[in-house]
Amino acid sequence: MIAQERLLSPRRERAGAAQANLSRTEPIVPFSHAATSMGGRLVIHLDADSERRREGGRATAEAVARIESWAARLTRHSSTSDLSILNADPADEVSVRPTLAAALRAGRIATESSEGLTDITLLDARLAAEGANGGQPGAVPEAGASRAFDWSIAPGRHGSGIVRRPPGLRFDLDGVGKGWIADRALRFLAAWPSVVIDADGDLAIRCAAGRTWEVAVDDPRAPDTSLAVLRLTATHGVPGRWGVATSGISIHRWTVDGQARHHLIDPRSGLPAVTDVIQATVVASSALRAETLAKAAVIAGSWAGLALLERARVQGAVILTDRGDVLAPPQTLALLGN
Amino acid sequence: MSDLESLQPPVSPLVRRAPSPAAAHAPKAKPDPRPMRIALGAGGLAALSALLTAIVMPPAKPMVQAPIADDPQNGQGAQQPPAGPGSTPGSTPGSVQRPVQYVQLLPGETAPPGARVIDATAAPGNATAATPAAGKKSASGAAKARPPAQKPGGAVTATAPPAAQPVAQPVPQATPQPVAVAATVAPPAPAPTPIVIKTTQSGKVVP
Repeated sequence: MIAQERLLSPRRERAGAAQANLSRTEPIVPFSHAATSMGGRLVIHLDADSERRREGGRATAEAVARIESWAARLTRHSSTSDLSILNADPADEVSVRPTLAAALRAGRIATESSEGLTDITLLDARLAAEGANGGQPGAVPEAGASRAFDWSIAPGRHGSGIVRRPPGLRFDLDGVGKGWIADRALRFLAAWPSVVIDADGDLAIRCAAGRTWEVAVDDPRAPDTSLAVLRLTATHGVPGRWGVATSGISIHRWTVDGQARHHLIDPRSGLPAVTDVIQATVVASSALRAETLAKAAVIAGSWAGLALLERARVQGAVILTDRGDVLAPPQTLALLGN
Repeated sequence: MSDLESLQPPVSPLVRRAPSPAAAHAPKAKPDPRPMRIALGAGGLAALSALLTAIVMPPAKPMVQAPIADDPQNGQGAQQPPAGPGSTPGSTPGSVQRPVQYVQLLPGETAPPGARVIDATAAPGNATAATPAAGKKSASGAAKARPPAQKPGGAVTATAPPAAQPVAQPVPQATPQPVAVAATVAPPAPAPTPIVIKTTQSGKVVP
């Protein structure tokens, strides 16, 4: 771990941008396409010169349409989505279509890579935390009875899958779905060597050799400030591929019966996680992995979370605690642009 | 023997005896090679000189029709095709080539009398205005007679005053003179601002 002073102290982004301009390589000035999707912002950044910007506009518009299509199948906020149909089915063995099957497989991988802390089977606990059903826990498992590994998905025909689960187990892809969609959208734009898919703060990044993307880590304590600026540069003549994701408890929080609640459920308790981490940002090999580990670090707490990130061999992380400390594993220093 | 001699045909006095081998290899008188050598040498030098000239000389720059000679309102100038190397588009046997100078004005400065505003990017680096010979009135001449116009946003230009001296047919002897002072005022393009890509918690409103 490195001390807080080695990281960027909260400061104005404008100063950060000016300082970044003096660094080794100029950051990419991208062509950006912004939209609203998945309940938040969706921005696609392309490293496109002026000659290719029209082509880039078409490509990003197609990507946004594809993202909308995927999101429509994976959201729990629509009764007609594939996910909602699965959750409404009382059977314990259900066939699902390819997109949902792939996302559920990604959720399974997320659970395994986070040592069980990122669990996509906690929809009822999430709804209970939000105060739905009168705040009753519903199907929330008892403490210590996590069902994160109690389900499976078998391959079906033509990319579909067959979900086998305990009766009543329902899914909520949430950030895992966003990370999976961001990674898939990045593959959709494979013709562009330098791309960033910003799925409401979770980033899937590809960078051509010799190019640099700069990513600011938001400071939730004050607007327009950042905890750090990460410089993601593809070196050694090969393109770079990263995922950068941030998870925390300072945005989605509310009060139920006088008790503070937030949306990150600890699968060990079925309740909102009790943690000293306000926010965790992780740099990993994909947006899915980064999102998974960032959420796990928040749920686990600062010290256990850092240990988990070390075991997962992430490329970098920035953790803000409720004490105001900004913590990061040592390898993060290689990514700091200041 | 006398009988045999009598059997030989008589030899005509017109028939010449074949020369002996020794006589066939006798040296023959040749023409003098020096004039031919001199001629070939001179020709070779001329060809070599022409080759060297073609190699060393830079290619002729194409003459560009000056936008000042074009009237943007009638669009005739815009319809002129670009000239090829070595050609002088718009020039006729009775025309005078006039160089046009483009001058950049600082922000706040105004175009001088007779100058016309053009777009900052429209001024070519090497321009020539073709002024028709006396008796010919062209669109460029009409454009020169117009008062200067100031384009918002910056760019300025120049206009050529009308030709003062009458040019006699068929070929004018007047020396080329600067025709116009073009001015260009273009504010420097702002440097692109790097977009700060930010990773946030989901649901964070980022301006």
